[in-house]
Amino acid sequence: MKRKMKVFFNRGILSGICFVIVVLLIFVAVFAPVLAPCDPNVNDLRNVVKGISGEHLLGTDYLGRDVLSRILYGARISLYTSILAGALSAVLGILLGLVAGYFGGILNQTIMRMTDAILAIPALIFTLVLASALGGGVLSIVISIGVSLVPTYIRMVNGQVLSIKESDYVTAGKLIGLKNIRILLKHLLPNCFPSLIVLFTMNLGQGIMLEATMSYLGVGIAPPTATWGAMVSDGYSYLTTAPLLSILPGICIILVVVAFNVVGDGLRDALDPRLRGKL
Amino acid sequence: MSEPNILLKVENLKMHFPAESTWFGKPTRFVKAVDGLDFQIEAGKTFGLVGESGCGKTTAGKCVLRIFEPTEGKIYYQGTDISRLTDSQLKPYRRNIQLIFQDPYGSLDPRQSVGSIVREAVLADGKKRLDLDVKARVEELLTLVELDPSMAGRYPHEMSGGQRQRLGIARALACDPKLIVCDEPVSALDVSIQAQIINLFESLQKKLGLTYLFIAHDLAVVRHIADTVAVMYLGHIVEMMDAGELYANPMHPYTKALLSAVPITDYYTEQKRSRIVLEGEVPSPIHAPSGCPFHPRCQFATELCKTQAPSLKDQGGNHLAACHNL
Repeated sequence: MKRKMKVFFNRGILSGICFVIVVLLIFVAVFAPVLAPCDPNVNDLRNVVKGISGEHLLGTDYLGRDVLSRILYGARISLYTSILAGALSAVLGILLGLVAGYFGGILNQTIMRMTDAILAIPALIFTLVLASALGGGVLSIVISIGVSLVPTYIRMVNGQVLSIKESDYVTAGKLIGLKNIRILLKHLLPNCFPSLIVLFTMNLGQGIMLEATMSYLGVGIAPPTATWGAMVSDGYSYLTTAPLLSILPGICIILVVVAFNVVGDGLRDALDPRLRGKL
Repeated sequence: MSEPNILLKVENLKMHFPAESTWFGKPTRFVKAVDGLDFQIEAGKTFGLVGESGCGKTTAGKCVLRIFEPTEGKIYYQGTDISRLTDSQLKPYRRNIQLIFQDPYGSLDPRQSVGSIVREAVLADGKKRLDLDVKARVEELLTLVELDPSMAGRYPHEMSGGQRQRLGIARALACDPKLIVCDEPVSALDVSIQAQIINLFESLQKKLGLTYLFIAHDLAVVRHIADTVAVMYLGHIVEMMDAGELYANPMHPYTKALLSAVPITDYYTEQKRSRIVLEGEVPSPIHAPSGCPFHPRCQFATELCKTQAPSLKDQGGNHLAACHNL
């Protein structure tokens, strides 16, 4: 454990900064009600699109709502949707990919051809259609983002399993009489981890992006709720007069997406026994 | 079925892999990797299978292990034919026959510690045991293959090639096997380590009464460890004899050529001897030659050799050879 921490934190300054950003995001998401100076959904039509001031640290938007509070509350939605959607797609994708790759045959054909069918539709359109079919709400967004991310997991796990299952240690496992389920969970799955962790953190970022895009396009979470995507979209019309309205939530999205990716790389190295004592 | 001291008996073993097929998936051509093997191994003995790459020796081993289901032929393990058993029927025999791999590193899960690899093999029979007993057994096995039990916390990448191979042996032994198929177990190791591992194989055989099917291309190694040696060429056994006879009295032209390729350490002897250099390449097992498989490269080949395949005939003193010209 100590060694893993060491590997994780020995990856340089960027890694450290990104770790702090992720921790900060979680902290902000959890304590948003305490930290936020105002209610994010209260309109104040006398103070519309005000710049930075003592009362509103980051100004107000076109309905006079406090931008800082909305960003803090928006972190909640972003974290919530990306982690839930990421977990959903990871569980489904890993399961299907493992089964398809290991057992092969008709099962493999069925799962992989369905994956191909989903991949043939552009991810954003697929998510949009799914989200509008499921109706609004956070849960439907989570499900539609989750499902649209599943094919990448299936493809990747399937490919890894196909190569690993031909390896000598899997043959040895069969010869010593291991059950299939044990070979799958104890040998195939852990050896897929390095790429899975990277994919998972990439998908967390992608989840935030998709959620933001959908909010921007207006199929996402219903309007009064603060989300970063919706904030970028709302501020768009004031880009020349009050650029901060769009830029601030935009910066948040970029920072979090980058941070997730870098932290994922660190996690991958920390969990790899082959790097023991080398970093 | 057969004499009680025969542990493994292989009859007319054939393994053909489909090479080309029609549009509908019906195979039209086959790679005849193994094409009619007959041999038997006495309990407690070592049977050496030699031949150059691609002659089918590993395929034969994998058929015995039932990693492949043979196309034809029978494999009797202690009198029971295991060649057609389904996975569930095979279960009671699975752990009795184990494999030592050519590539020790590839045979170990890089994410599993040494102790965990052996423990998994001990526990895989599904019997209930006390944790303490399992721990003792793991230590016993590691000691048996001359690994320090304190290495249990290490990972395969932190070990040397020889240590990895010892670990592979410990894993095989954890199943209490009777027959161990050694598929070129030392060819990936340094020469100095090879000797250690060979000695380990021998001492384990004495201690545990193991039987080996030893697959190799190194004649010196095979002569050292094997009791009986079979020489394979293109899926056939061309000569089979006691290990001592291999150097003393090779009969088949292929065996002679093989032996003349073994380097001799003494310079003057090396200078004096004449080499038999074979012409051409090994034919593809897809287009196996008619008659004797060796005839296109054999300097003694006659018309008979081109049309009719020779069978293994006893040349006296347990020495079998398949050649028309003997």
